[in-house]
Amino acid sequence: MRKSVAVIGLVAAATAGLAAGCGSTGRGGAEAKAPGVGERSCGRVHPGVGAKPLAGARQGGVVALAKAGDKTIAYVADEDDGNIHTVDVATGKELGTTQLGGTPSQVLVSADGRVVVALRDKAAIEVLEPAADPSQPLASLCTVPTPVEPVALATTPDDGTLLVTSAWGAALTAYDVTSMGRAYEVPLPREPRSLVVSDDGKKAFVAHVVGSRMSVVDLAAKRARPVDVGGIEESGGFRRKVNLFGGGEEIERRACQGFALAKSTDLSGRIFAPQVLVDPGRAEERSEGYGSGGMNPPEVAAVAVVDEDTEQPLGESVNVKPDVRQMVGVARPRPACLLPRAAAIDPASRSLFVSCLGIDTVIEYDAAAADPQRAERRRFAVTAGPTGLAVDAEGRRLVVWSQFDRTLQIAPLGAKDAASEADAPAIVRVGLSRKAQTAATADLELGRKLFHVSGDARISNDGRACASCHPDGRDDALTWATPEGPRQTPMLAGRLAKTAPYGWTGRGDSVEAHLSETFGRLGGAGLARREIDALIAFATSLRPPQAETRNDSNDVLVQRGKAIFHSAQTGCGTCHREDGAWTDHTAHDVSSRADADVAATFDTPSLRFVGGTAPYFHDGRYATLRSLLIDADGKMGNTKHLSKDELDALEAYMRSL
Amino acid sequence: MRGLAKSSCVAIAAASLALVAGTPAEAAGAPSFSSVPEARVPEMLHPKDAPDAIPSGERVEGVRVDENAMRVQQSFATVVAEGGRCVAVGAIPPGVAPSGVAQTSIRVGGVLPMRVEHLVERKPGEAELVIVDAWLDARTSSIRPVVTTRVPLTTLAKGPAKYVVYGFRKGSELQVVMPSQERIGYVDPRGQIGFTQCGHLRIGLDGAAKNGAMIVAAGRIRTNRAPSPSRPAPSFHPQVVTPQSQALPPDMVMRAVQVSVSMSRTKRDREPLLSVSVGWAEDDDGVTASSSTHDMAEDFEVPIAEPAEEQ
Repeated sequence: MRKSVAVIGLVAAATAGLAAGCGSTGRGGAEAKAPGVGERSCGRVHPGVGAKPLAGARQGGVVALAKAGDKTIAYVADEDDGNIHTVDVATGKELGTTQLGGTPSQVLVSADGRVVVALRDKAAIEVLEPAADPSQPLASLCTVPTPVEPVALATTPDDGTLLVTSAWGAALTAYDVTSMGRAYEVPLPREPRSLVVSDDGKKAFVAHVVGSRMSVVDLAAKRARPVDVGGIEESGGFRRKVNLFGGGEEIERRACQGFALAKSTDLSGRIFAPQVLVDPGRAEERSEGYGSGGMNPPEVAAVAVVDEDTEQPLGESVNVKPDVRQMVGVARPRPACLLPRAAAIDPASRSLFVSCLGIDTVIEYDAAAADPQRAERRRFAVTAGPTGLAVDAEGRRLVVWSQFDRTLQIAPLGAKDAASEADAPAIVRVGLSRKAQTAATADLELGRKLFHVSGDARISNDGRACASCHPDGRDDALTWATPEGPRQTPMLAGRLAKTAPYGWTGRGDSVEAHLSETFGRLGGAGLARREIDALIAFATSLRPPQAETRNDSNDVLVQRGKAIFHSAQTGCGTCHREDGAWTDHTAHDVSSRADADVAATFDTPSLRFVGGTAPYFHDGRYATLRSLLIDADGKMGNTKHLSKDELDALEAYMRSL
Repeated sequence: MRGLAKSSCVAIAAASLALVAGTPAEAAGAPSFSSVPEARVPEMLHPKDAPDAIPSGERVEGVRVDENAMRVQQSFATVVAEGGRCVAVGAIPPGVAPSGVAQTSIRVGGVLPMRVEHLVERKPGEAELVIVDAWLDARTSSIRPVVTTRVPLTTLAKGPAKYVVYGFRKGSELQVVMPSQERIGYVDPRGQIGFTQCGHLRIGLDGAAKNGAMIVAAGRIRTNRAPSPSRPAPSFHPQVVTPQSQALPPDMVMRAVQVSVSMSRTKRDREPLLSVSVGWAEDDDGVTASSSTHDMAEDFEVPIAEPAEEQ
């Protein structure tokens, strides 16, 4: 594989971040020292000059719209090139580009026109100021540190507080908008992403990629409460199992892929959470593939509708229904949105737009529906990798950014009732500029598309993509039923290099060998030689949460934990060898065989980034690192003799790996 | 209306309509629940009121009673509704779609209550439901109409190919009426699946349902053939034999449409929020899953501006 600087830019999309924070326990993440912190004021140098936000826009996005005079402009966060494109939405003309100090994930235009960018790989937000002429680059005012991997932005209705979610850092951090001084931080569960703020400014709702939950953060009490957004399947005639009395089995489905959120005050405080409801199968049963099979697919696209006031999802929106299309013999059903990445509301037409990676489509739903997923209005075919979208309600336009093909697409939405037209209108597509010398290798670009493609028979027979179980190249926190017993999904980003053999039993000598087995279990027809190479190239180059794990405040604790880890008494380092990427590349019997397991020995997993990848063991039996350390005593190493302080130190060290 | 003319007992009841004033502002799309006109649909006739017998010769238009030749003892008969009419004989259990069947088998015995519904669509958006309640005596193959109710229907949503979803309000319930050109498959608010084999599906949604209520249905409708050639569909989709359509002009095809109707209520809602969506359920041009090896440029309707490389 040819090496290229573009590798860095391209894979930054999948995973980026700094220190291994406190992923699953949600204690907030370590910070990296951001450049320029404290050196410059974040306030406006030229107040009142330049573009302003659209009325009511207080949620960040990959695409953020603003008003520059009579022009509507789009700020587009280009994570491959690390810059922001400024585009005239009416003409599609690229007005200018602003180079950033890192990889942008979201952009937000504050009430005074400042542009705030979450720099995912720098553990910081960058604050910039627009010039009077929107074609001029934005001027950087300051950078402000955040917990590792800031991913989403929003401001409160009074425009006084900026809220930032950090994915690997697992935290919501609040800043005073004027000074950008940190106000407070609230720990969150694993992998938070988009956020919206309630109309009264008292609560923030945060989506999570894994864990079947949404967090509701009380901004006054500074406390988060999880809300279950998983689903129930009662599937009538399509029941997978029928009991003696003819009734069907009720299947609990877990929510995954919670990347996006949208909210509309006009729709009575409904919060929309595009997601996927997953049935990973029964851990105590063997299956034919990943999941337990049956008529309904293991992954079903969904849009949870959460009542802002009751903080609960509408039951219909998470109730998985039989697919009526099958009932009338639809041979070419429209593929499902299994990788939703961005969402926006058009209040005028009461439409919810969701961009879907993998099928490269924006789907327009009826946002007033009890289950918007079953109330599809139109589809807009877009180019590969739609990661961002915004609605220009005033100009009646939809703006979509496709990162993989680096294309901005602008679609007219028509009049208010245009949603009743079944076919999407023509779309203007504009290729945006690309920095010289940063074009990714063809292999990596192909690999990125293959990793995310869904509904492709070469990958799976049920529509699943690689990114379905490995969102952002990480893990789905699920344990799947497989032919060999329960298997917890491992993280890929940063864990493939030097960690062979692969798979929980260690049967795959190479990534390719393990990939072949995975395709077989997914029922995929398989890829061509070049495509396999490209997919492996992309997977092995996925950027992990960055190894810069230093957090001075607990460095002493980490060092103490390191000593405990490597001590002969605990014996952790015997198998999790530091010189072997924290694995000895060997299978062991650690008394972990589950009822459905065909074998008792399991390959020692690497402990890289172990702090953010709960649950643990091949069957996910330990929900937290602490429970693993205590309950696995005697089966692999010894921890019974450790005091609470020593366990704290050991856990802190493991979280630093 | 031959059957009506022959019956001396026919009473035509106009459905009562009531528009509720002061409805909340509605966005585009479906009307608000309270703005949907309310209509009265009588209960089915009660068996205790049934006459002892009906002499042969009485009929209702579009309905016939066939002796069931397959039954050895001739103790069963089949009631067949024609011309898109839907028929129900006996009581309709609560929660079951009150229409959707074009024929039904009954045991030959006493006189039974019967209902025949007919969706009369004068043009898209202008329709009424004609409901005939009658007595059926399978022993004489006779049907005696008792009351005919005409229910004006309001348009809930317009979809592609001039497909219209109709409805009316019945107390806290929304009655949804979907025209059927072929078979309609549906999932009712209880999560049960069913099929319609007559000219329409009528089904109720409870506006007071705590978690919301929803109907999802799909069926094929006539539409103009798309000019573009089809691409092969991804092979992971189940290959289902498509029902043979009626003879169609060469420029028309049957294409699957999906309809969803729901009512839901958040804490802030003053009344249930009504949603009606109609859209294609399958791709006409076959472009479904993207493929890395597929040249996306083929799909572009508007040329892409080539990226300008910075110097």
